[in-house]
Amino acid sequence: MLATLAAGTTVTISLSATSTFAYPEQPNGCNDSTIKYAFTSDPASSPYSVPWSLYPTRQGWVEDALGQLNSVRGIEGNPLQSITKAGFAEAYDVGVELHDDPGILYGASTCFVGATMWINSIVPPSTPSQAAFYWQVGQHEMMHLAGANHSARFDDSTLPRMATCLNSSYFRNSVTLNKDDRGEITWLHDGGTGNRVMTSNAGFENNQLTDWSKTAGTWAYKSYGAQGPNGYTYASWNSGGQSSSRYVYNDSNVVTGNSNESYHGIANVMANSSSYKSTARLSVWFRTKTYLPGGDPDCNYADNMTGRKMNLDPDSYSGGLGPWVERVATGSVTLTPSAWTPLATTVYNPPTTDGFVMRIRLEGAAQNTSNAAQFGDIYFDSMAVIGT
Amino acid sequence: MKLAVTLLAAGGLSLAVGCGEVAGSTTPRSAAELGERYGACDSDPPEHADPVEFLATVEQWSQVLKVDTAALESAGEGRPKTSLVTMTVADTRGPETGKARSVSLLTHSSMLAGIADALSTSIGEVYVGYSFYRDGPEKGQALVLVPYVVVTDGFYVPGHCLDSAIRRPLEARYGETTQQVLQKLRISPPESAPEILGLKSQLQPTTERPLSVLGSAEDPGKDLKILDLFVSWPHQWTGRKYLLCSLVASRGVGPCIALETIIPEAGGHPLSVYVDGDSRAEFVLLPDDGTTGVLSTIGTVFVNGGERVSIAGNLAEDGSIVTPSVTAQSK
Repeated sequence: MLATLAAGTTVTISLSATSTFAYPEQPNGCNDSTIKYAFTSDPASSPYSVPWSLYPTRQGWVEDALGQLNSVRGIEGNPLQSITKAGFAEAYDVGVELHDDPGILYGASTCFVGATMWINSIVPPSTPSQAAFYWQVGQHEMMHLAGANHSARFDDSTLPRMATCLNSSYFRNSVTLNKDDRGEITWLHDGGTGNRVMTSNAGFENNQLTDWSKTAGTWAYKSYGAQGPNGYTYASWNSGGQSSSRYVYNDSNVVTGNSNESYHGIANVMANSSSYKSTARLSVWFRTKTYLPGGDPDCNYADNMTGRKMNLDPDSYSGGLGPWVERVATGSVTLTPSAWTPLATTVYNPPTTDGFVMRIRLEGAAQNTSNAAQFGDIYFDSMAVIGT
Repeated sequence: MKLAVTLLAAGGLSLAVGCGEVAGSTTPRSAAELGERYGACDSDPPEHADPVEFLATVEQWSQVLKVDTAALESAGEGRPKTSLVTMTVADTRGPETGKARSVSLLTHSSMLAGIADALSTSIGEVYVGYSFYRDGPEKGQALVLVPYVVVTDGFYVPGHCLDSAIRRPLEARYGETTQQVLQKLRISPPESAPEILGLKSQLQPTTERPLSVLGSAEDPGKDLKILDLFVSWPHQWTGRKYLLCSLVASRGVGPCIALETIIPEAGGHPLSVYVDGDSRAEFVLLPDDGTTGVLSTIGTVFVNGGERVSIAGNLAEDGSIVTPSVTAQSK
């Protein structure tokens, strides 16, 4: 837990404290999944502080944004974060302030005793909307306090909340988190301090099949109806044929710099019916990334990434994005209908440049034993890459 | 509220837009000293926009000739805040270039001391870059995004944390040409700012798949087919730090297999490859990180899908292959 304060008490800001700088391969020093916050204003500690009471609409946007951070669920269906507003006179961990500062400044957070975050009240005109500014900066700073570090810019085609040092014209006009945001929160808080789940919606607990893709066949989301062996939900997939080009997959965007580690692919897979010969094969694929040089040296990224622009480098040999490489695979495994079969495989320190896309991929087929042209479902659940 | 614009002088005011030129002469003070005095942070710098991208959003540049006295006097009183400040300015571009006019701009009070010092001592020329709100409560008003003062040995950016958030990264990027870049921005139309700043290729989201790398099975690209093959390679190749890749000439490389960690299954390793209209599957060897060029060309086979593809040759330490060959056989 962060240091706890009582609502309405004076928040002491440590002027020597650094803003929480960031990097996706290591959590920062805050790393808290349970945070009570209060909207505060304290001109004594910061002359730039202005009262939220002057801007109730903006306060509402921030409250919406912070509430969205609780939407991410882990493999077992458990909410991964609890970030809630303290009630009147209730103790709180983080004071959320509004400042009046020059328009190029967005905000900051400190997670030392008297933890605070602030958001600038001066929104640059090029921002899509005032709401977009408060959603983006509010979620960004609170995610720092929850342990998140800075991400690259457009890995998921829309701007992740943890992207930094870019013009506010790119801020997303939506309170909803994107895939990279969900992936980072999952990695932060699903799995403890050892092996961390790096795949977003790894247990299909976040809005069914969100974040997953398939190259062929049909699929559906399934529910146990209650807490099952792998959370509340799982998925079924009919590949429609026997082919290594038919698969389901989920990609994670990871910034590594010089901090390359080991990654474990895991999945629980089950046959639907004994009338079908059901097989599955789990593999983990990587695609290297090279980011542009020439970034602002003030935009801190750990592991030698400071000074990068965090956009893919089109001038590098691969255009910033290397070819897909299969690094490990389980081989084809025969499935039974009565029990989940765990599949697992490990990649030790794959080569990287600045980062990579990491894909967990399941090929499989359930071929009718009496009619080879017919294919049925296989079930899969808790499919993820976990990393140290 | 509409932006208040009043022409104060019918005649054009001659603007010295040359870089580093200073109108008057007083006790010399360095840009670094002035930046530290008027643009410092009272804590570690907060998170902020990329100053280069931020500069690209400036819609108008003007030279500041005079600032409303009341604003200057009240700047040091009370808490720092953003409010409308009336200034006499002269645009550095556009149809009214050089003409003095009165304008009210939303200006942060922390910017004013450094501006006032420059104006009162004539130590340098003061410029402001600003943009207009098109909606919201400030609709029609303009916000000062970037103030800066050109002095003999450089420039400084007055305002809370602005010297570190703006000047330092700009100088890190543009070096000795920083002031030339700023000068070009001041006199050029806003739409040319990305090119002046070198931003043109960098502002776009980088989700386009580069031509040099093929896509994956969900999006094989035009004119290409995906075929299932079962690929085997010599035992001696396993464990080596190279990538065995398929390739489509002129289209790109991939997918690949990491020889270091993949052990081929009996009957061949399943691999879906891209082929062009001639159904040619070509195989090459790449370094393990896949980010540099092809090390060796192995060969080409014609396939229809489902074949067992056998690759052979002696793999040398440098990634070259002696007598490489590839054959395809129906399973």
